[in-house]
Amino acid sequence: MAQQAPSAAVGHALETLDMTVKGAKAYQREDLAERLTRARRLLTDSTITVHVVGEFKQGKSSLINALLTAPICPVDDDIATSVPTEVRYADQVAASASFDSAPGSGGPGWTEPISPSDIASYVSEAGNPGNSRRLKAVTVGIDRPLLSGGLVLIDTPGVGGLGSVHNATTIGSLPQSHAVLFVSDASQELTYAELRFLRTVQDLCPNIVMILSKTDLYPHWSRIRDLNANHLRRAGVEIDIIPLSSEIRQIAARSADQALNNESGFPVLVNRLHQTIGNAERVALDSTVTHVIRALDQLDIAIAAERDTLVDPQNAGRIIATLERTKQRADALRERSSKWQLVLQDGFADINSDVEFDLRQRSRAVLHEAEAAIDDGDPAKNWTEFEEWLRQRLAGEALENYGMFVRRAKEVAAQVGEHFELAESQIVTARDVSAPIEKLRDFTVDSAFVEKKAKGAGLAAMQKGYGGVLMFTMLPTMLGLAVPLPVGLAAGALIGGFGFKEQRKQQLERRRNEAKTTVRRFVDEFNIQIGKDSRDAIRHVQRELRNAWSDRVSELQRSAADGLSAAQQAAQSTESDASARERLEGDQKSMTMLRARVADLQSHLERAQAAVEKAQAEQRARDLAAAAADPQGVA
Amino acid sequence: MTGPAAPPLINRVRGLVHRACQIYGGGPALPDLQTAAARLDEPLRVALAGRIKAGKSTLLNALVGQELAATDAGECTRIVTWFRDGHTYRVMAHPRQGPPRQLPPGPTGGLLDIDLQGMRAEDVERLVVDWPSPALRTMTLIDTPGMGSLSAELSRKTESMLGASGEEDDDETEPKASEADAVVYLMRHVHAADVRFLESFRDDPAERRPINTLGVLARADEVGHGRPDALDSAAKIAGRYRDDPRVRALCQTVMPVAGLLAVTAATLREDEFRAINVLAEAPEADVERLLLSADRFATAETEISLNPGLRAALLDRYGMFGLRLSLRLVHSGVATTAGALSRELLARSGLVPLREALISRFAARADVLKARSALLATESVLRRYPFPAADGLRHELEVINSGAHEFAEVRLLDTLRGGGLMLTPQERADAERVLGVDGVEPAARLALPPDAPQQEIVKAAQATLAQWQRRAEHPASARDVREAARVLVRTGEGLLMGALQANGTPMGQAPGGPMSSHGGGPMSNRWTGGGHDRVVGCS
Repeated sequence: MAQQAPSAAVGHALETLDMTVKGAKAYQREDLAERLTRARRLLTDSTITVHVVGEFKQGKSSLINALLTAPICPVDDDIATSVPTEVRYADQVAASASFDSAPGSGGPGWTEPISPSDIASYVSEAGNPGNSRRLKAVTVGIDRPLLSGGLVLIDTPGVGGLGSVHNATTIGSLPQSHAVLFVSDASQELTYAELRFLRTVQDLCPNIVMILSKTDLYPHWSRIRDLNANHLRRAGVEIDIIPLSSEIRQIAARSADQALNNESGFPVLVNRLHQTIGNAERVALDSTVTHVIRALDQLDIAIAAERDTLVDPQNAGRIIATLERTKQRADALRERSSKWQLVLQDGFADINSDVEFDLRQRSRAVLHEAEAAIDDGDPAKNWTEFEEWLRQRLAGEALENYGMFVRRAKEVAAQVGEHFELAESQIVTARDVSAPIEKLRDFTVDSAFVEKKAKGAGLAAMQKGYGGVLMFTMLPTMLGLAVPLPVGLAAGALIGGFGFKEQRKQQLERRRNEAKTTVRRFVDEFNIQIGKDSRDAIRHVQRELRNAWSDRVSELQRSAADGLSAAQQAAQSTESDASARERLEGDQKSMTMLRARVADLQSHLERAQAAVEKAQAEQRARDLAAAAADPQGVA
Repeated sequence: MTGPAAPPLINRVRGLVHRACQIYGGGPALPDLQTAAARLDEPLRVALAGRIKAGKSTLLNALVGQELAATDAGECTRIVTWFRDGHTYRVMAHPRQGPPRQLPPGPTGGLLDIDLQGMRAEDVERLVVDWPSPALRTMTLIDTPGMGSLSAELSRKTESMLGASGEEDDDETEPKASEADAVVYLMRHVHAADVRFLESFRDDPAERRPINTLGVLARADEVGHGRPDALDSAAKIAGRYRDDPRVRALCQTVMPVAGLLAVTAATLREDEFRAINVLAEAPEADVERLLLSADRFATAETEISLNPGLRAALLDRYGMFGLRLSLRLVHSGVATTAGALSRELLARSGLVPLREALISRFAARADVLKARSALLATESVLRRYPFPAADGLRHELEVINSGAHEFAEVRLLDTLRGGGLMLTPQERADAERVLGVDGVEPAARLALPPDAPQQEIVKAAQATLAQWQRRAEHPASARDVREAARVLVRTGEGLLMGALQANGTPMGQAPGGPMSSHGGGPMSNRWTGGGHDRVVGCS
C-alpha cells in the first residue's frame, strides 16, 4: 500500500528505537530488544479504525460516500445496509468479501475478491436476504488522500431495523476502534433507544462524535441540535455534535465549489478525523518514548553499577548491597502476593462476579417482560415476532453487559499499570545512590507518565503500559442461539376461535404455560452460554495482562541481576581497567545521546499536545461566538 | 351484512349493556356501563399513534383540514387530545383528579399556545377539543404523545390510553378497556419499537387484532431525501411493508401519506401561491441555488423579491419537497391558481386514499368495532363484579361473542392476516377480500366495481359461495380450514341473499343455484385480477 511517508517525528522515533535495540543487543538483552521491536509495530502499523454507527436509515452510507466523494456504499431509499463495509486505502479501486464457513464445516472462512460494481448486491439487504450467503464483511479499497494516513472507515448495519440482530457482532469490535461516528438525522431529536445505545458505545469506545445528518432537508436542524445537546448532557454523554449534509457535499464535489463544501459541514468532520489520526500518532509516539526510556533505564542499571564500582572501589560494598536489595525487590514482583498481582487478581475476581450478576439481573428482567408479554397475548399467534423480540432484547442486554466488562477491565488494567510502574521505578532508579538529583529527575518523568495514565485515556493508556492491544472477544455464541418452538404450537393449534370461550381459554392458558416454560429454558440456556463466553473473555483478558506484566518482571529481574553481577565483577577485578572504563564511558555517551533524542521527542509531543488543546479551545470559543452572534446557527 | 333473521349486532349489544345497567344500577360499576352504552351512539374513536415525530399531529390536522393540533420540530404533543365534532370551538381539560374544566382559547385561537390554567401537563389526563367539522362527524380523532420518547411518562400515557397494558399497571389482571375503537399507526421506517408497540396494542389480550389497525408510512415526502421521486419511493416501501408477514400480522395495510403536503394543501393561502409564483418566475439558476438546502432557502441573500421571513414561513409550511414540487407544478402549467395547486398537492399527498380507507375499513365497520368495545367493557365489569343475578348476562355475552357472524368474520380475518391457515396465497387473498379487507360493501367484497349491475353481483356471490362450500366440504381440508371455509360460506350466503333481494329476484328462483355449473376456476381468476386497484379508485 502506497501510504503517506511517516511524519518526521515518527522517523526520528524509529531511528531512536533502532539504536536502543542495538544497545540492548550489545548488552545481551534480547528480552528488551524484543519488547522494543514489538513497540516498533505501534509506529509502523498506522491503521486507524473509525466505525460509523446509528439507527438504520439515518444516512450512514451516504456519509461515507460524501466524505470520500465516491459512490462506495450503496444508498437506497428503502433497502438498508446489512453487513459491515470496510473502506481503506488502495492504489486503485478494489473490493473483497469475507465469508463465514458453513456451520459444521469447522473451516476458518475465506475471503475472495469481488468486482467493485457488485458491492451493492453483497452488502444490501435486497442482494443478500437474511444473509443467506454467510457474508461477514466487505472490504473496499480506494485511493483517497484522507485514507492514506491509515484511516479505515467501517459502515455498519443500522440498529433497530427489522431483522438486524447481527449488528451485535459489529458493535462487539468497537473496543478496537479509535473513534465512533454516531449518526442521527435532523428530522427529530434523539430517542430513548438511541441514547441507550450511545451509552453502551461510550463504554466500548470513549471517542465518539455525533453526526447530525441531512441538515439540508430540515429547516430546524439547529433546534434539533440544541435539543440533542441537552439530552446528551442530561444523560452524561459528553460528545460533540457535528451537523452536516451529505447531499450538499456531493453537489459541492461535482461542481468543485469550495464555499458549498464549507456549507455542507464536512470540513469540520474531516478536521476531526485528522485530529483522530494525529492523536493516534501521538499515542503511538508516546508509547514508543515510554518503552525506550524504560529500556534505557534498565540498561543503565548494569552500566552504572559497573562504572560506579570501577570509579569508586571503596564504596563497592555499599553499591553491591543496594543492588542486592534491588534484585530482591524485583524478585518479589514475581510473588503472587506482590501488589500488582493482587490488584490484578482482585480486580478481575470483582469483574467476574459483577459481570455475572449483572448478566443474571438483565436476563431476569427480560424474562419478566417476556412472561408478561406471553400473558398478554396468544403465543400461537405471534411466536415468530416474539422470538425475534426475545433474541433482540437478550442480544441488547448482552451487549450492555459486555460494555460494562470492557469498561471495568480497562479500569483494572490502568490500576495494575500504576502499581506496576511505581514498583518498577523503585527498581530502575534505586541504584542511583551517588546521583540523587538524577534520580529525582527520572522520577518526575515517570510520575508524569503515571499521572497521564491515571487520567485514563482507556485503551491508549494500556497500550502504553505493555505495548499490546487487548483483544476483547465478542461473545460468539450470541447469534447462534435459537429459541425452540414450544410444544403444541404447531400451525394447526392456531385456530381455536370456534370453540366455546371457556374451552378456548383453557387451551390458551396451556399454550401460555408451554411458551413460558420454553422461554425460561431458553433464558437459562442464554445465561449458561453467554455466562461461559463472558467468563472465558474475562479469563482471556486477565491472562493477557498477567503475561504482559510478567514479561516485564522478567526483564526487571534480569536487569537487577545483570547490574549486581556487573558490580561484583568490577569489584573483583583488581586492575584499574582503563579500556573497560573507556568502553563504559562510550556506552554512557550513547545512552546520553539516546536520552537527548527521547527528550526531543517528548518536547515535540508536548508542543503537539499544546497545539491541539489550543486549537480545541479556539474552536470552542468560535462555536460559542457563532452561537451568540447567530441564533439560527447557520454554519 | 349477514342474514336478515338476527337483529343487527349493535342492537343486541345495546340491549345487553342496557340490561347490565339495570342489574348493576346504583352500584360502583354503573358509570363504566353507562360510558359503554353512551359510546355505542357516539362516533367511532380513531387514535393516531406512533413513535415520536412520526407526524401524528400533522396528519390529524390534515384529516381535519385545519391546523388544530400544535406541531413543532421538537417533541410537541404532551397530552392525549381528543378532537370531536361540536357546535363551537371549546377545549375541556380533564385532570387526573377533580372535575373537567374549560380552558380559554389561546391568543391565536388554536391549541398552539393553550394555557393550562396552572395545571401541569402530566396532571392532565386528556384534553377534549370540540370543533365544528364535517371530518369529525363520522369519527372522533385522538392525538397521542409519541412512543420511544426520552420522557418515559409520555410514552406510558399513550400506551395506557390505548389499553396496551404497561408493566407499571397495578391491576395487571384487569387491563383497562381501550379508549379507542381503532388505531391509525404512523411509522417512518418499520422499526423494532413499532412492532413491539403494535403487538402490545390489543384490547382483548387473547385476540390480537390487525383488523382495527391501519398502518401509515408517514412523512412520505422525506423518503429518498426529498428527491422528486420521493413519493414513488414511499409507495414502493409501503408496498413492501404491506407484504411483509410481520407487518401484515399487525395491521390491515400500509399506505404512504405526506401529512405536511396534505395539511398545507387543505389550508393553502392565496399569498403563498403568489410567493411560489414569484419563485417560479425568478431566474432558474437563482432558485436552484436557493433550494439547495433549507438554510439557504430561509436565510440566503438573493435577488428574488421574497424576504427571508416570508421564505422561512413558506419552508415551514411546505418543506423542501413541497416547495420543489409546487414549483414544478407551477412551471409545468398544471397549477395555475391557488385552488389548482391545492388540489394537486392534495392528490399527491396520499391523504385521499387514507381517508377512503378510514371510511371503508373503519367507518363502514363502525358498528362492529363499537359493539366490540362495548362488549369488552361489559365483560370487564362482569368479571370484576361477579354476582348471581349477572349470570344470565354472562351467558348472553358469551352467545353474542361466539355467535355473532360479524365477530367470526373479524376473527377469521385476523387469523388470516397472522398467516395461521394452510391456504394457498390465492385463496388467502380471496378470503381476505370476501371478509372485507378492501371495503365492506358487497361489490368490494366480490372484487367488482362499485357500480356493477346487480346481476353481476349475484353471479359473483354465487361463485364465491360455491368456492367456499367446496372447500368446506372437501375431505382433504384440515379441520381449521373447513371451519374457516364455513365462516366464508355464511358470508357468501349473506352476500347472495342481499344481492338477490336488491335484484328483486324471488329467492327460490335464483339462476342456477349455489352449487350449479358456476365453478370456482375461471370465475375466481376474473375476480382476483385488478380488483384492488378498482377498489382504491372508487370514492
